[in-house]
Amino acid sequence: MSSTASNYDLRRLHLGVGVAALATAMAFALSAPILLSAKRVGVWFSVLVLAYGAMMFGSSYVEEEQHFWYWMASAWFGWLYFKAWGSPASPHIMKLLTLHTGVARQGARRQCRHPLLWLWYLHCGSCAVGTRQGRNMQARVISPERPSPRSGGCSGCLLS
Amino acid sequence: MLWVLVVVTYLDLARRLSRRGLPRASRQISAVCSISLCLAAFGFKVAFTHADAPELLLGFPRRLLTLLEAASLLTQARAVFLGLALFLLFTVLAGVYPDWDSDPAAARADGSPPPTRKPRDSVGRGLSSSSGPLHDLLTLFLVTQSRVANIPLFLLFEIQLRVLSALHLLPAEITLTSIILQYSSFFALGGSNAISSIDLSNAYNGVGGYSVAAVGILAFVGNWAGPVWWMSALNLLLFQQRRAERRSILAWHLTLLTTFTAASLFFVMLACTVLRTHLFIWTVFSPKYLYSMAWSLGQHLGVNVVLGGALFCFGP
Repeated sequence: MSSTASNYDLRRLHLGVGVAALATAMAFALSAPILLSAKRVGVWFSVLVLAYGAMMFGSSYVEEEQHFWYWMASAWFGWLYFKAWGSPASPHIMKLLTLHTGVARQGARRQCRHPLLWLWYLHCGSCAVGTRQGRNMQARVISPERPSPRSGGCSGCLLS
Repeated sequence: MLWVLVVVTYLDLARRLSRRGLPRASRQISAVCSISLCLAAFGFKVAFTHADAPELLLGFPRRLLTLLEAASLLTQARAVFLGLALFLLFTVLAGVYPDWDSDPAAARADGSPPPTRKPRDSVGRGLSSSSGPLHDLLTLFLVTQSRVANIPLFLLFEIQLRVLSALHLLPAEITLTSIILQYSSFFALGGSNAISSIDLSNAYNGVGGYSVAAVGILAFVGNWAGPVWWMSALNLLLFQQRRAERRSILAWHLTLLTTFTAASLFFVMLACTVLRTHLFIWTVFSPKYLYSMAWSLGQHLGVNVVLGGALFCFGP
């Protein structure tokens, strides 16, 4: 029934898909050197592209695409943690993961009023303070300014 | 509580702008300028929320609201945009003409005598001195274009950026982080693959009548605020890489981003072609197709390649 309801010009559809395939192949050919030189990033990139591509064929997956990206980000930060295991940077990644969970949670709620969120903001504030202390200890400050007094956010959380 | 976080976000922005913005002006002048700009932006946000979603303003001082109603939303938004444009102009001028002894333009804008220049110790190390303020200005613009409930998220993004910058990522890792965070921030700010989730509430800020270009750009920025922010933020991280390799790093970064965009477009088109008799083709797949058009044309071509490339090249 749906085939009679819509009158598609199949030749153009196929032409479009062909052009997209050509563009993808060319882009992959261009980016092959960097993907091959940084092998693990290449694997991650390929997994990301293939998983995303496969997801496009399921209507429910398309509708709930946010979960794919939240999980992907968690996995990516988790892998960064695994890679930096034992180095001075590894505590930072745990903070990143926590912050990301906070962001994803707020995104899932679509609003800023859930009591649990304040706990997350409190935690994120303490993360920021922790980062400042950790960086001062490492004595290699990257941003030009002194790391920020983020405690304002913390005390705000405590007050409410 | 929401407003506490919003105020903290604006205060943080004002602090960063006064420290890094207007690199030619003295510390006092840049502090006054950035505080008044952030105050104007905050006032506009409060007045806008009062008109748009008054239930969020319960318990807000009544006197403040009547004060803000004195000026129309249109005037307030235009004032904020004008202030942003002036800030941008002076920052760019200071970057283009680094040899000026004093900045007559900045002094004229304030109506105050020419500033005695104090070299600001914090500027010029690590993150580039001229791309920092541009990022702050962009943040203020994006915050103005976001809904109130989303504003505290920019504070979280900022902390995430700090943590990321402490990690010393490789360029390819930064690109992958950029893809992942751009997409997840789009969804975290309330976007989805449904036409109904397009937010038009901020598309008419400062626009009197309907004009396709202005409303279109503002609507895009309002909906893609998270991805645009992460583009600019991870550009700052790319900037930390070694100076000699910057050009090639930008080229590789854009190549990888293009590859992902091309591949995702290919899969979306293939899915739409194969599933053209699917029951949900018009409700699920065709909106996704339109969204991927916006992602590839607007976000990738417009923001990542053109704006990102310009921000990156302007720095050195």
